[in-house]
Amino acid sequence: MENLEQYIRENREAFDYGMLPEGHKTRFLKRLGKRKRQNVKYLYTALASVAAMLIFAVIVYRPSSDDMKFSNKTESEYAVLVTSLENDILDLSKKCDKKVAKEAIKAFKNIIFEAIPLSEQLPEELSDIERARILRKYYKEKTDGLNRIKCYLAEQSIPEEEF
Amino acid sequence: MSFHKSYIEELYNRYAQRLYFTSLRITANSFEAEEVMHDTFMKYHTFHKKETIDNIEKWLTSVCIRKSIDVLRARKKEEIMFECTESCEDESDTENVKYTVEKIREALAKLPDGYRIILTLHLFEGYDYSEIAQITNLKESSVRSQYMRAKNRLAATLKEL
Repeated sequence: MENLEQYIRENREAFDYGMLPEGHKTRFLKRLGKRKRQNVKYLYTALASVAAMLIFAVIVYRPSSDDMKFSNKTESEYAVLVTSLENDILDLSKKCDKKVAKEAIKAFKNIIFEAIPLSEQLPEELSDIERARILRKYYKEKTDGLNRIKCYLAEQSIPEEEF
Repeated sequence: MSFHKSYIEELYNRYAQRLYFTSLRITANSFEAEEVMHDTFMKYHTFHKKETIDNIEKWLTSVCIRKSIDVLRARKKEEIMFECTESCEDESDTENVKYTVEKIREALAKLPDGYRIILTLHLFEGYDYSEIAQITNLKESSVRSQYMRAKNRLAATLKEL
């Protein structure tokens, strides 16, 4: 019996070598393809919900004038955060599948795009505190969306050591 | 092709054989072994904490082994029979038996599930008795005696082939 154990030890690698069932990789790639399509659907759902929140925010909090001191601070904080997230997203997208990266960057641009800044659209009658609250909430929703994109890309990315 | 190949495909090409034959040794069923192999890669693909994995091959193999044992449990719908009344003493005489990889694979596939699991885990995967005891929910002493019985049965089966 020791001969058998010795034989197995000495030829261990050979036991993991041989023909796999025909078509095995095709079946796996098909299964993987289904999973990827599901992931893209989730991404679109996440983007749609962020877009819906933004539209709601714009409709409910109609544009008007602004208190420059409060809005400037919130907007500048947001600008810093967006720059940081943009760098993270761009870095992560380089480690992902090209199609996934392209969709994520497109989603990122859609979120950060503002034809007219919200701060210039808020009613003059609003108090400083209320204005600041609205702007913080609005930009928080945007950054939440950007963070979701970042997390999604992090999940899809290939670790550096494997390149 | 290699430029655009996704990471998971690279992993698949590298470890598919290893995982397939590991699972086949336990399940003794080609279809189920392929399913387990694919399930293992999909589990890695959807795993959220990849940065915590030190050794990908070891992680994949460990997942593959547990899934293979689960397949046997589900197939049987009862506890896998580990305890047996066969003798533990080494009664095998295998001096004149010529070993080949294919013969050993064939003999392993003929063994009862419990024996196959223990032999695979100890002989092929290098698990010690205490690790096997944790996986199989047996006492360590039972694992030792089961391993002896399994070895005898394997040797006897090889002689018949």
